[in-house]
Amino acid sequence: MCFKIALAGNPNSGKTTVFNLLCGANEKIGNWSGTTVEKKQGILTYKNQKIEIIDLPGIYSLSAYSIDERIARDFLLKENSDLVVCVVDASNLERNLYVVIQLLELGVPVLLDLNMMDVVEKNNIYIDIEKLKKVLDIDIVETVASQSKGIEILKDLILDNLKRKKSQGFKIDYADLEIHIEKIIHLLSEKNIGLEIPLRTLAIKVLEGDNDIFEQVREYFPQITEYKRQAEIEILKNHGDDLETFMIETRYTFLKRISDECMKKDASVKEVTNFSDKLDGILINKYLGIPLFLFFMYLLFQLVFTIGNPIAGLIDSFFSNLAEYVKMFCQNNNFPSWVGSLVSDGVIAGIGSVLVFLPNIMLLFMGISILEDSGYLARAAFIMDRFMHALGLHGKSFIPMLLGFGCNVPGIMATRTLESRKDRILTILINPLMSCSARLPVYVLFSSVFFPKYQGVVVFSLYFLGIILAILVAKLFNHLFFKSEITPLIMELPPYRIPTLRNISLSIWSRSSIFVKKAGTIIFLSVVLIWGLSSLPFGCEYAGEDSLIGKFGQLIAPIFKPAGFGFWQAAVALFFGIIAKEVVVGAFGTLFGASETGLNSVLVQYFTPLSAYAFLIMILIYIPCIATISAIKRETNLKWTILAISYSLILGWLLSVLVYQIGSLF
Amino acid sequence: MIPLPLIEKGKSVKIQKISGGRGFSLRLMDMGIKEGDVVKIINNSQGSLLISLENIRLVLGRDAAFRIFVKYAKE
Repeated sequence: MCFKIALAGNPNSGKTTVFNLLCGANEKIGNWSGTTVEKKQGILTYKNQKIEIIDLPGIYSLSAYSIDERIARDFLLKENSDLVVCVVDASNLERNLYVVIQLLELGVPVLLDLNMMDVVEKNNIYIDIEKLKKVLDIDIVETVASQSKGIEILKDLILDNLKRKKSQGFKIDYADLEIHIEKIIHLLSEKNIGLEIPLRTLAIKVLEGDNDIFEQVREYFPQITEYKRQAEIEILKNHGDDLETFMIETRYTFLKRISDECMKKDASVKEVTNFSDKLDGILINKYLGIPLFLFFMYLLFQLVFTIGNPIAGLIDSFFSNLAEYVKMFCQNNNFPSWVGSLVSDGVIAGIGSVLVFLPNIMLLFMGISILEDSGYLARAAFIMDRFMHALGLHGKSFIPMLLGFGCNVPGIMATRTLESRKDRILTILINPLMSCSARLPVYVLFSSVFFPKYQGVVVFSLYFLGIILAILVAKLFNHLFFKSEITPLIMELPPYRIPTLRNISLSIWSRSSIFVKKAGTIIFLSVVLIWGLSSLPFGCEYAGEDSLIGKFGQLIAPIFKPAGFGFWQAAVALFFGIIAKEVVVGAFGTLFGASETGLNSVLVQYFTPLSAYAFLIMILIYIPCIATISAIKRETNLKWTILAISYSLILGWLLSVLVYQIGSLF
Repeated sequence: MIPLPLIEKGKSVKIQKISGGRGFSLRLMDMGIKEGDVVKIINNSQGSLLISLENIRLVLGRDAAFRIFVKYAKE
């Protein structure tokens, strides 16, 4: 039998580190059904017992605001896991326990993991574990996950708790409200409404204004509305509060009592300004904040390219040698010529051209996970808040945009932490304008041929243009579709932490493996498709004007004439670039029948510097790649997806035509 | 009562009233900020505010912060 347990807790409590320690690389990343929110599952095998562990998104309470939180809440409420391990930041005990006592009220079996005990010690806080155990009536384990301390005990206790399931009778006394809770329990006990939640919990959730549950209950008991109203009136009369506020305050009072009883702070030690605050004094300083942020970004991209490119070169030559070898092999063994062509020109060259980017992508994800884990990314959101305000968004939306420079798909997925629908949709719509790493090879190829002296400036101008367009598009769409409803920004800044090697390498591994998988599936198929269309009909010149692909290209090429690149090869490259932007470079290679090194001399016959720049603008803006389109579709709906595709195509075409036509005047 | 954004950096204030929608004040309460708490302004120079309450560091948008009314806490 396989047990199922869940990890829950506040954001930044070290939950993921605990998860990584329990499961190692033995994890599976999928999606929560119906969303693209990452669902992390892992298997822990301990003392011959298999235990499935689910890492839930961080939550502050069981009320749900963002999609992330709704998923965690629904899981905790509706799926019966055998145990919930609550990981809490023990240095923030009172507040972190809030969600713990809510879980206890639910009646789910809880094991409490007091994490970050090193910080507790450093702050001269003493926690009376035994007493806390007694008050909450659950097992407690102390850990320092960042140093792998206490994990063995945690595993033991998990096993122990699973073997002897005990029912809990945890209760918070809601004073004046108790009589109403009793009444509702009495009412609910009349009929089974098919929710596997204890009646008291149900009553509490109803009073607390949990809409989902309230509606479900009302279907069976229409009189519940009246019951709730009576409770509301009484609490308002006696306490001057609405129900929710009253209940939250009761819980906090309860927590305050616990922390007074179980926690002592050595007041004799004077509190020194802590390290995080000192660092914040510099990093989010009014004058230094933005320059430092830009400097870090510069450093990140330098790292990605200076270290990544030489390794990429090695991979590239490996694949071209392999293709050459396979071709020879097929010839020597008298295979039909199309077999050798398919395997080497198609499959190896195609997949190779994508896998070349693996080092860059791994480095980028390394940089991003360092920024994330160290706590700096949240600061970046704070620093850029004012700038984002100009777009009708707020600082939190900046994180997905930054991730978009790596790849738009994780960028779009990161919008799930935004609470308001408007913010999510706007941020998703402009995300493709952030130049992702797949577009860079195209920029590099063209700028090295046509603007060898100003390569840096040209590439930078494209990144910059993307940002400017994102601002304008966000403002326009905000005006057109949302009429500037403003959502309040509330965001917690985690303390700075040194990222652990383990977490970073696991994060690189899990994200890069998705990329490799993509190369093996989508890219593989599209490459075979391009190859096939270039070789058919039989007997035509490979990738010549009379091949299917040539005919197809000639059909759409006239559209791009006003932009200066109205020949069929460019049209084909753009079309297949929709599959993945990396394909554009490879497609030119195949179509012009030249290796990428020889491409330079061919390109100058087709492009002028002006039309080359117009082409790059098109590459920057036009239709997002398939992976991005499907991410947009999953996160929003068909309407917004169509908007994203059409606005980018129209904008890209207009701007490249504009640049070419105006440029031609001089 | 003074709206939070009008308090200068480094001062400690007591939260008197959180107005502007139940969703907003409940959200704050979930995160551990409620009426009666004493918070300190750490940064108030770039639009949104950074406040602290014990170990918590919270960023509040300026519009959001204008919905929180405070008075100076006695040191």
